[in-house]
Amino acid sequence: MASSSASANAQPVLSPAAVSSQRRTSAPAVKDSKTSKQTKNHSTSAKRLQKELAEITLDPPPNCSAGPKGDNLYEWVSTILGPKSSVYEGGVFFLDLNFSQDYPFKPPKVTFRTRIYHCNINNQGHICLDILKDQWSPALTISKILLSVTSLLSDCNPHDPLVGNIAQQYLTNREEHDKIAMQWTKRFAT
Amino acid sequence: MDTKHAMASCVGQGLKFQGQEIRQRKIPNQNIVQRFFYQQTHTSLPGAQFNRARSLYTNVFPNFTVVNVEKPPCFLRKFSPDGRYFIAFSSDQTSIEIYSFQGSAAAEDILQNVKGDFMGTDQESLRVRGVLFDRFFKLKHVTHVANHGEHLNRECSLFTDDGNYVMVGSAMYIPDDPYPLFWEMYRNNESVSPNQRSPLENYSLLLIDLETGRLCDTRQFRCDKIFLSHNQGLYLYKNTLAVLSVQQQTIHIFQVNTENASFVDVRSIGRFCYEDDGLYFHMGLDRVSGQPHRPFYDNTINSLKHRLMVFLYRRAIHEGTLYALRKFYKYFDQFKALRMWKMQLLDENHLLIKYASEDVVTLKISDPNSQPSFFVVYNMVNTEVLAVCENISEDLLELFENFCDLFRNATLHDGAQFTCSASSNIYARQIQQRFKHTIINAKFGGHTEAVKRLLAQLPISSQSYSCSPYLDLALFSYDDKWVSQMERPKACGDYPIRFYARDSGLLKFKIYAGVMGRSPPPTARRLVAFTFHPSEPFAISVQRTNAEYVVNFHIRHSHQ
Repeated sequence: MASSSASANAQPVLSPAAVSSQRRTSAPAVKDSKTSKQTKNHSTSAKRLQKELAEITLDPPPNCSAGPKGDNLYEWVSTILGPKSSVYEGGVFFLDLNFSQDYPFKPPKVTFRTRIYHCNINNQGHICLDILKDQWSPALTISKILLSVTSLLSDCNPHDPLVGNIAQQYLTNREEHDKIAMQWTKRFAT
Repeated sequence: MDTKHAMASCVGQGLKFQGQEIRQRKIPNQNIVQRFFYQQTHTSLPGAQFNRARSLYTNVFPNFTVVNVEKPPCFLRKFSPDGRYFIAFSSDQTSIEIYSFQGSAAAEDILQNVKGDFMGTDQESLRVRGVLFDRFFKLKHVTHVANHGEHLNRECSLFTDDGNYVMVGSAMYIPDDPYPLFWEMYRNNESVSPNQRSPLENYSLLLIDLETGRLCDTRQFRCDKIFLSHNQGLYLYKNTLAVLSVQQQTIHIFQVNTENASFVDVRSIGRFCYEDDGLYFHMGLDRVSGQPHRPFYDNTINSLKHRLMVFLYRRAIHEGTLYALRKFYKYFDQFKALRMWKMQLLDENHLLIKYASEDVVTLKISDPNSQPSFFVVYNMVNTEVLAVCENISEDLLELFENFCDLFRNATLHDGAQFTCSASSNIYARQIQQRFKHTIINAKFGGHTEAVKRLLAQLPISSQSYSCSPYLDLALFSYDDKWVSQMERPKACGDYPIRFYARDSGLLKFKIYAGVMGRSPPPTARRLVAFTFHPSEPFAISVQRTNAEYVVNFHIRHSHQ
C-alpha cells in the first residue's frame, strides 16, 4: 500500500507513457485524493484515445491514417496523402500528434514532419489552424483534425498566414506559387 | 599410383565398392610444353577461354619464399590493377611512394644456385635479402601529399579502372583547442554525436597520377567521420566515387574525371536528394525572421530518410492489412532514428546502404553485427528507394549467395576483378555452405544467426578482393583460414600454407608466412597480410607483431 501511494505521488514528473503503463499496474490501489483528479484525466484521455484508435483503424477518413508510436497512446503519427487536383497531389505527408493528459479538453499538438510549401505551415512543421488553437472543441476527433488539415492543403488561408512571403506569393503570383509547391511535393514529400 | 594401389590391397580394402570397381582418377597432363601445344591446336568452349588460359598458372607459381626482406622505411600497400605499379606509404605517413614492378623474374640471377623453397634468416641469405627489394621495385616517385598534420591511412587506396590513378585518404584528429563550432559538427538534424571511440577528424581525399606521381586533385572533409580503413567509407564504381560521411549522415558523390585528372562534385545525398533541392528549399524559408537557418534544428525528416519512410508506408499499404499499417506507425520512430553506417555502389546509379542505430554507427557497441540493421537499395538518379531488407532477410541472402559477383563488381572480362565467389565457383560455394552449417550447428547458433553472419559481409568494400590466380579456388585448393581472396590480415599459422592444384590434386607450392622457426611471444596476436600481384607469380606477406614489421617475398624460382 505504502509503495503504491509513493509511486502515485511521483506520477506528475513521469512521461505520459510511463504514467499510462503505471496506471495499469497501480491505479486500482491508488486512493490518494491529491492525484485522483489527474488519474481520472488519464483514464478519460486514455479511454478516449483507445476509442478513437479503434474508430480510425476500422473506418479511416479518406487519404488519411494514423496510429500510436510504440506503446505510447499519447504520441501518434499520421499520414496524409496530398489531395487530388491540389499542388500537393502525389505527396505523402507525415504528421506528429502529441496528446496531453487533458485531451480531449485541450487540443493535441499537431506538427508536420514532411517539408511542405504552404503559407499556413512553416518550415518547423507548425500549423496555423484555428481548431488546433482557440476554436478547439472536445467534440473534435483525430479523424476530424486530419480532415481539417487535408482541407487546409486543398484551400490555404493566405489572409492569416504563418509564412508571410508564401502567402504574399500566393496572392500576387499564384502561378509561381503553384510551381514551387509542386516542386516541393515532388522533391520532399515522396 | 602403383604404391597406393598396392597399399590399398594390402590393408584388405580392395578397390571395389558395392561390387563395382573404383577407378583411379586420372591426373591430367601437367607438362607445360604439351599444354602449350594443346592450347595452340584446340579451341576452347565458347566463353571458357579465360579459364583455359588461367589453367596455365598451375605450372608457374610463387614457389620460393625469402624471409625478412630488407625494405626501405615505408609501409607496403598494394599493386595497381594492371600490376605495373606498386604503392607504399612513407614511414611518416605523409608521402606516397610509387614503385614500378620489374617483373617476377627480376631476381632470378642472384638466386641461381639456391636450392629448396625457402630462404631463412641465415648468414648466406643476407646478401640476397639486402638487394631483393631493389631488384623487384624501382622507385619512380615520392610525392608529399598529406598536409596540415594529416596522416595517410595505411589501409586505404582505390585505383581507377584504367590503372592510371590512385586515390588515398588522409586524416587528422581535431585538436581540443580550438574545438570546432557546434554548427560545424552538427550540420543537419541527423548528425550523430561523436564520442571517445569515434572522435571527429579532418579528412582529405587525394587523387594521384601513377605515371607522373603528381597530386592531381583534393577534396577535404572537415569535422567529419569517414571510415577510411579497408575502404569502408569510400566506394569506386568505374568513375563514380561515393564517400559516406557518418558524422553528417551524407553520401557525397563524385565523378573521377580521368581526362583531366580531377574530382567533379555531383551531389550530396542525405538532407537533400536532388542536386538543386537546396535552392528550392530556401525559397520556402520565411525571410522575415532574419536569423541564419540552422538545419540541425529542422523538425522535418531529411529527404533520404523521408524516401525510406514513404517506401515503408507504401509497402504497409500494399500489404493491405490493418496490422501492417499499425506496425508501421509503431516502429516509425525507430526507423526515423536509424543512421547510415556503411554503403556501396551497385552500379553507377544504385547505392546499397546499411542502416543501424546511432550507437552502432558511433562504435559504442562492441558487437555491432548482433544488432538489427537494415539494407536499403536506393537509386540516386531518380531518387527512389527500391527495396528495404532487414539483416535477417532470407531473400537478400539468396540474392547475395547467387549473385555475389554483382555485389563485388567482379566481371569475367576484367582481369583485375575476375569472378571467384560463392555464385560463380563451386569450391567457394562449398566453403560458404560449410561456414553456414557451422553456425547453424554451433552453440547459440541457428538459421537466423547464420543469415545474420553472412549478411554482415554486406556491403562489400571496394577493391577488397584479390584477383590473383593463385587464390582462385578453381585453380588451387588451400586452407582459407590462413589466406583468402579478401585482403584482410589473417592469423599467422606455424606451418607453411600449402597450395594444391585443383585439376590434379598435387601439391604445387608452399608459402611461408611469418618468420619460420622462431617462436613469438604467446601473448602477441600474430597477423599476416598478403599482397598478391594481380597476374604474376609474386606475392608479399607482411607480418606485424607489436612493433616488428617482417616482410616476406614469395617469388617464382626454378631450381632444377
